Amino acid sequence: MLPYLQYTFPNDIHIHWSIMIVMYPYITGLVAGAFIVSSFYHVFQKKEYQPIGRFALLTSLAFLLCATLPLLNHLGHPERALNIMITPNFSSAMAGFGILYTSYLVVLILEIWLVFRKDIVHFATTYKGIRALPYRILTLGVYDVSDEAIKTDHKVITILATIGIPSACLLHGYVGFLFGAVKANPWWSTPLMPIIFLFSAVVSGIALLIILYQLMAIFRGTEVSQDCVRGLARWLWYFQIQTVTLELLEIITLSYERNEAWEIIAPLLTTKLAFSFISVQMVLGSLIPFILLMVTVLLDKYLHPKVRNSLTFFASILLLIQVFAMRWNVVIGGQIMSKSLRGLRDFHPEFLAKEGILPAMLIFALPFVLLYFLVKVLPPFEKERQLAS
Amino acid sequence: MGKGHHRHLIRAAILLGAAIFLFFVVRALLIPKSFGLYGHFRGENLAEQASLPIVHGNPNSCAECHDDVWKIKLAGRHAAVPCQDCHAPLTQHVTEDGVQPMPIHKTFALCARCHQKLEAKPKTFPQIDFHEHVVSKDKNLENEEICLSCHQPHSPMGEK
Amino acid sequence: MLKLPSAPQSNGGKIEDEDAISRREFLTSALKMAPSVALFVGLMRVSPLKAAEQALGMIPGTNYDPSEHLFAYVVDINKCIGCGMCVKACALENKVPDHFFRTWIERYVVSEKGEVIVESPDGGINGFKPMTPGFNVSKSYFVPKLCNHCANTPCSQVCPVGASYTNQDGAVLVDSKRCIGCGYCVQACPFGSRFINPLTRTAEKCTWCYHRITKGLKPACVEACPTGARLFGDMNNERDPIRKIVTEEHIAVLQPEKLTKPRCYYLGFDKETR
Repeated sequence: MLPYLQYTFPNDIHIHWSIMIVMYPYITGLVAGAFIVSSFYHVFQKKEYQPIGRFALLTSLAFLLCATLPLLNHLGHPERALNIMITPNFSSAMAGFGILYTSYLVVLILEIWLVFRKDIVHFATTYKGIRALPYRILTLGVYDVSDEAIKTDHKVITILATIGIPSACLLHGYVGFLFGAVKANPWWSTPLMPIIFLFSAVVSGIALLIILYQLMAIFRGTEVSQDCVRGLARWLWYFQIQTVTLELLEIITLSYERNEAWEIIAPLLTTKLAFSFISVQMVLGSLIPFILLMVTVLLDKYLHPKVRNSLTFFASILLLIQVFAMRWNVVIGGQIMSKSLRGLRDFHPEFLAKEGILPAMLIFALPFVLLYFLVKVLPPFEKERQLAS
Repeated sequence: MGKGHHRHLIRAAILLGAAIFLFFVVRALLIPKSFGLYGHFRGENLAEQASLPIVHGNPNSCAECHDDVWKIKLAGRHAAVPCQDCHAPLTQHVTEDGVQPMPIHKTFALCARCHQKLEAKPKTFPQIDFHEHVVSKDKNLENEEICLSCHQPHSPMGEK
Repeated sequence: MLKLPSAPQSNGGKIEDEDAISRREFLTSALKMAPSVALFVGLMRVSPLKAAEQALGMIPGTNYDPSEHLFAYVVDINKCIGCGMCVKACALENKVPDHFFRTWIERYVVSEKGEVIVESPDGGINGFKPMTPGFNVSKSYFVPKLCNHCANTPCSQVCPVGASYTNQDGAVLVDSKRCIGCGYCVQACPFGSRFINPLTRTAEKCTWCYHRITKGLKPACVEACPTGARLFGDMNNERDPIRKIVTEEHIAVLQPEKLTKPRCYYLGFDKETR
C-alpha cells in the first residue's frame, strides 16, 4: 500500500457495524424478494408461479419475523429499542424503521390470513380439541367460506398484494437509503444504493425460492414444475444482470469522475476487499451464475428437466452468496475505509463474540426453523392441502 | 362485494385499530416528562450534563494558596503554562477529605512533550534536541529528572 | 415537535346488525369512532407541548440560560506544539475510556513532492516523538481535532430517537439515557468525532465540557493548552476575543464541502488537512 494511505482517525479503529448489520439487509432483502415472487402469482396472475405463490408468502413472513434480531443483538441498549417508536426523530431515516416494518408486517400477515382463510376455517372445523384452537382463534369467529366471501377475500388479497409490493420495496429501499444517504462515507453515499439493494434483494428472493422449492419437492416426493422453474430462472437472470450492471456502474462512475474518494476506494477494492469483492461478488457470484442462467434461458428447449433444475439450483446458491458478499462489501467495506480517507483498517470477525459468526449463523437458521413450522401449520402446497381435506 | 360476506374483514380491521390505539396509549405513557421541552430531546438531560463533576479547577484558583510560586511563574517564561498540566487536576489535590498531596511530574518525558525538537512545531517555539543538549553539557539521560538539575520549572530561564 | 391537529367532528348513528352492514352504514360507524380518533390523535403528540419560541430560562441547578449564548471554538494551527496536554486533560475531565478520543492531535508531514504522512499515535495523548518520514520534509504541522459542533450536523439528524441533539447555545450533546447505541451517528459524522463508549454502550463525543461552560469556565482542553492554540468563547458576547477572530480573520473549517457548518474554526489551515 502507498505509504501515505496509512492514517485512520483514532476513533475509527473499530468496525462498529459488523456482521449483524450485514445480516440485517440480507434478511430484509430475502423478505422483499420472496414477497415479489409471491406477487408474480397474487398480483400479476401468472399461473406458472401458482405452485410457490403461497409458499413465497410464508417464506417472506418467516424472514420478516427474524429481521429485527440482528439489529437487537447489535444495539448497545436493546432494551431501549422501542424508543425508536416512542420518540421517533423524523429527521433520521432510521426513525422510519418502526413504521415501515410494522406496516409491512401487518400487510403481510393480513394477506397470508386471507390467502389461507379457507384452510384455516377447514382446520378449525375438522380438527378436534387443542389442535383446533389456534385455527379457531385465527378465524376470528367467522366461518363464512361461501363463494361470495372467498371472492371478496380475493379482491382484498389483490389490493393487499398490490400495496405489499411498494411496502416491500420501501422496507428494503429504506435499508439501502440508510447507507446511501450517509454523506460522510463516499463508498456508501450514492443515490444508486437503494436501487442496488432492491434489485439484489429480488435476486436473493428468487434464488432462495428456487432452492427451497426444489428442496421441498425432493422431501415431499413431488415433481418440480418446469414452468415454474423456467419462469423463475428467466426473472433471476434478468434481475441479476440489472443488479451487477448497477453495482459496476457505481464503481465505474466513481473511477471515471476521479472522485476524491477514488484514491482510497481503489486500494480498498484491490487489497482489503480483493477476495470478497473481486473473487466472490464479481467472479464466483456474478460471472458464473450469469453463464449458468444464460444456458438455462437460451438453451431452454434442449434441457432435460434435471439439468434445468440443477443449473438453476447452483446458480441460485451462487447468487445467494453474491448478494451476501455485496452486503458485506458495502457494510464492512465502507468502514474498513477510515473517514480520514487516508487509511484502511482491518476487520477480523470473531466466531463466538456477541456479534460474531456463530450468532449470525444462528440468527440466519431461525427463519428456516420458523418456515418449517409455518408450513406445518398452514400447508402451502396443493398436495398436502388435498390430503388434509 | 356480496352483502354480509365481509364480517371477518371488519373484525380484523377492529382488531388492527385496537392494536394501533393501544400502541399510542402505551407510547403516551412512556414518553419522558421533559421530552420536547426545548426541542426533540429530553429536556432534563441539559441539567444532567451541566451537573457532571468538574475535575480541572479554575486556573487562577492555585494562586489562592500558592501565591509565592504563582508570582515566580508569572514573572518567568512559563507564565502561560497551566499549573495542572505538570501537576494534576485540582480536584485530586483539594478534595472533600481535605488537601491531598499534589502529584508532581519531574521527568524529562514531561519536559519533552513541549520542548523536544520536532519539525511540526512552530519555529519560534523553544525546542531542543535532548541528546545533543544534555550530552553537550556532559550529562547522561539515565537520570530522569535531569532537566531540573539546571532549570527551575516555574521559571526555567530566570526572569524574562 | 408534532402538531396537534383539530379533532374530527363526531357524528351520531346506530350500530346495525353486522350482517346487514352496507358501505354507507360502515362509513357511519366509522364516524362514530371519531371521539376515539380524537383521543388517538391527542396521544400521538409529544408531551408536554411547549411553544418553541417560549423563553427557556435557566437550566435547573445553574445560573445558565442556553438561549443567551452561542459558542464557538477556534484552533490556531500555527501555535500548536503537539504536547498532548489537551488530550490528557480531556481524558481526565470527562473520564474518556482508553483508546477513544473526544479530542486528539494529528501530525501532518508533507514532502516537497506533495507526499503526505498523517499520524496520531494514541491520539497524541503522550505527545509526539521525532520521526523519519523517508523523504525531505518541506512542511509539517499539528492539527488538534475535536467535535465541530456543526450547526447543520449530520449526527443529530440521523439519531433515530432524539438522544443526540443540538442545543440553542450551539452545543451538540448526547443523552446517554435515551441513546440506544445503534451507532448511526458514529457513521454519519465525517470527522470521526464520535465513538461508542464500550462501558456505557452509548454514543459519546466532545461536549465542550458542558459542565464547565455552563459555570463560566473554559473547556478543559482550552485551559490545558500552554500556547493558546485553543480558544473558546461566546459569539453573543461582543467583547469576547473569539468573536473578533471568527468575524475578521481568514478562517477555515474541516471538510467544508460536506456543508455541515462547523462551529469550530481553524487558523493557519493547510489544504492537506482533512
